[in-house]
Amino acid sequence: MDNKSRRDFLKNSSLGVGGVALAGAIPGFNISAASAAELIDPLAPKDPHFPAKIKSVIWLHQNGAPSTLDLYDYKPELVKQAGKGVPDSFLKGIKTSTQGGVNELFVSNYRSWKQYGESGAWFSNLLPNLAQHADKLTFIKSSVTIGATHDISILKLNTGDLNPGRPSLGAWISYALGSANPDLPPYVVLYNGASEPRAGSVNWNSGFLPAVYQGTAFRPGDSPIYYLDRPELRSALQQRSSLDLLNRLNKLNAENRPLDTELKARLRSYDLADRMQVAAPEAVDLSKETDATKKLYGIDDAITGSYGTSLLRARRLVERGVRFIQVVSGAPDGETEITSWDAHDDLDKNHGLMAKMVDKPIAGLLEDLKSRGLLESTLVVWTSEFSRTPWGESGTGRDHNPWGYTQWMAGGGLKAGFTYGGTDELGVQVADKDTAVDTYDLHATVLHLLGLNHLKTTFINNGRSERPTVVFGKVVKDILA
Amino acid sequence: MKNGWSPKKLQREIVLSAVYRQSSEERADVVAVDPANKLLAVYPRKRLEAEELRDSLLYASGELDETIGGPAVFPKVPSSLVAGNVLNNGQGGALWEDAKDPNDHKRRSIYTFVRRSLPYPLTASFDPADPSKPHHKRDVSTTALQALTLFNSDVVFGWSQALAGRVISEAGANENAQLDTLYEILFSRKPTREEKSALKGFLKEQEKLVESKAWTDKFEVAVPTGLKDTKNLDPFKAAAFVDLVHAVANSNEFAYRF
Amino acid sequence: MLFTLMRNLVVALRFVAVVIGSSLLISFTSFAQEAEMDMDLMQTIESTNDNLSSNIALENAESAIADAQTLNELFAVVEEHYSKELAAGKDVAEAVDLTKKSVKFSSEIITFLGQNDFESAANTATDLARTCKTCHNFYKED
Ligand code: HEC
Repeated sequence: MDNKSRRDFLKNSSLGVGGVALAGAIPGFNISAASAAELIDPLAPKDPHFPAKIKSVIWLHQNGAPSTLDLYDYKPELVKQAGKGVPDSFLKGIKTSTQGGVNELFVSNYRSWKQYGESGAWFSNLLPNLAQHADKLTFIKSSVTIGATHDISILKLNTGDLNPGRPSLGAWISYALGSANPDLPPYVVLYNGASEPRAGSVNWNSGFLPAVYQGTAFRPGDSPIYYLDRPELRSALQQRSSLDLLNRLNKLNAENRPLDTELKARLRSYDLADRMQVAAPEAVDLSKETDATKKLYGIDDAITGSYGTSLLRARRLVERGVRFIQVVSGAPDGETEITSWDAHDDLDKNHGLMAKMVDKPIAGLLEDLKSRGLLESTLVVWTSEFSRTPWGESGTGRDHNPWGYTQWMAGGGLKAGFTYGGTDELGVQVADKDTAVDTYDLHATVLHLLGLNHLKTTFINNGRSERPTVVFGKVVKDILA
Repeated sequence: MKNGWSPKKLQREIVLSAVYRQSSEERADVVAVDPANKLLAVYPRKRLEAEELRDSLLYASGELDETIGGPAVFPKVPSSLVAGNVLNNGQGGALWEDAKDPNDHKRRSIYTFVRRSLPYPLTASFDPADPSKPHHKRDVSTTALQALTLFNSDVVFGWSQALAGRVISEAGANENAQLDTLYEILFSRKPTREEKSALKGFLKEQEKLVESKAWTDKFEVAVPTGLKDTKNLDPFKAAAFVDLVHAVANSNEFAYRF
Repeated sequence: MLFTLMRNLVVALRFVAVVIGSSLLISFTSFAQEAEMDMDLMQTIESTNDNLSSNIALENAESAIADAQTLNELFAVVEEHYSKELAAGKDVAEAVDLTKKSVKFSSEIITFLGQNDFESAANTATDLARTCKTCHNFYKED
């Protein structure tokens, strides 16, 4: 008998002849099995619902929650009232009990404010470089969210829910639009610092969407993806000819099953892997960038270097058609004490370092995108899981504030040099509740700029039609150009 | 039941039935009548799940350590994951420190430690159950990251070296016998004539490629491992054979059950 | 289909339970009991609201109308509850307002669905969902 098979095995054992399992067959795998996806290429590019304003999004997550009261949201009244208690009227309708309690209003002695650009947007002395780009930004000064732990609110920032299981915004976008560059994943996550961002991959997960849509984390360093390099002892030529053999064997095997698209998909996945092996390191390789460009991003500096590297990589990924680039702020290389914006005490020290780390690189990114003509087709989003209170904590720190804070966007399809919404005179909460912009609204707006109607971007999960904005979400129409 | 609930008799009945003996391969006439395969005349091919794939490769290579029970183990992860990694487990230890006992690297996947914040990279791209959420059904994706994992991982390549060694030990020096044995181990069948000619053609060319490497300063090749007798091993041939084994182990036929 | 029927049956049963519950609430106004009743009712509201959103997206007019109808009736119960509290001098004016709004939105959704205007229905359903959030901001303890 030439071809042994499952069938023969069963036959033999049932007749009691064959005895033990046939030599070399693999036991134990006949019960549960995965039924393969039928889609030919789940990442094939798809048309949006209406013409898109932008092609790519750079999602700048400021991890740990910066105090936007110390960056953009100038409150003269807060300066006057510093040291006093918070009047009850300001606390109406919010729950401060889950936070560390309400203390005296606090202002740093080192803070100063100036208006910039024709728009006259306020910036503090912490962001001197970004301030030069005031007229490119669209501020949302009425941002709100649900205040929980960092991890939970970060999850909401990226997936719209407080529990794991929903797809992240980038996954929805990959699902809805596919990949614009067949050699790279459409959704890439970048971070600086020694370790992966806190709360981890649930924040770029595909949730109930198929796993192909999840974000691919590019690690810092030359080799951004695991297993991108061939085994050490193999030459490039050896690798090439081995792939050719594999291709040949797979084709022979697929001949017996001409209609099986999955087999073709796997065949193609090795081709893509082969191309990605070249494309991914090239995409993050900054050696061909000029010194001037690197300087623009602050790559020549110890504090700004690692974040600047992430942002320059982000620009290179935009140029290569990656749709969603999620950049999570980490810490300067070698810094172990301050690893996020979470300044519960000594805000001056924390924000002094963190603002310095991001200020020049983000300014550089905006300038670079602009000069390359990419800003019109890109959206840069400056966002965080929540912000910080006007009252102090541990003397010189600030507690969490989900009730009213600033985020901004810059890029195609928006009113540039524009401010939407605002907080009350002390910066405790949104002044006018009707202007409040929650995570879902931000997501709906980003999707809108990409040409997607968030109500029509749907996926059936457990018999229910789900959308990126859960059951909420409205496009912030007032900021659209 | 009439036969006293004998599973053997039941199996015999099933196995000897006309339905059971029909081929389950894709056939033009069947596809024409039932394009959606509602009647299951064609066996719906299934990809091995993450852990199955790893364990199958380990098993085929003869390396699988089938020890039962005990605490979870930390098999080897890419050095780039560990090097310079200040992630810690909250008690000052590293998040992932490769097991000291080499056998721990070859345990069944069910014993691999599951860390929510740091999924085991070798199986991570094959849609394992996400430990941080309730779960009823795995996805089956087919991605380039999977291809990179299986084709480039030093660990998987090491298993191919071991498998090559196993084949040579079992089949001896005869090339035909080696190819037959390899296919029997991996697929429970012998290679077809076409496959054999592709494989032999590859061996010949690959040997030359490896040989050309010998002229470079640093000549190192991956040879079959686990052999008792390595005296007669021709390093060029042996390295070419490892490459062949690695390609065959990466093929669709291994990743799916048909 | 069977599933939808069953779900509607469950909702209907729960609804009956809720109505009985809230009439109990009027006779024994122990605080703990009141909270419990509200939780159950809110759970039903939430799953009905999720279904509504899904059925609108799937353009299942019939099921969506049934969901909106259920919500409309449930919010009438909530409105009655808060109106009584307001009459008893409690600071719940905003809640009464928001439930009135919710009743109004759910009626509007029914009208839109009757006209097969799924887009307006989806937008109004979003307004309704945002009203949930606003009320929770004010009145719900986490
Ligand atoms: C008029 C105010 C009001 C409106 C409108 C409202 N809720 Fe509530 N909801 C509450 C209050 C108050 C609670 C807390 C009940 C308690 O603690 O006793 C609550 C609790 C809940 C809970 C938590 C129940 C639990 O078991 O923890 C859910 C879920 C919920 N609401 C969903 C919704 C949804 C969905 C909507 C809109 C379709 C909505 N609510 C509209 C006032 C409201």
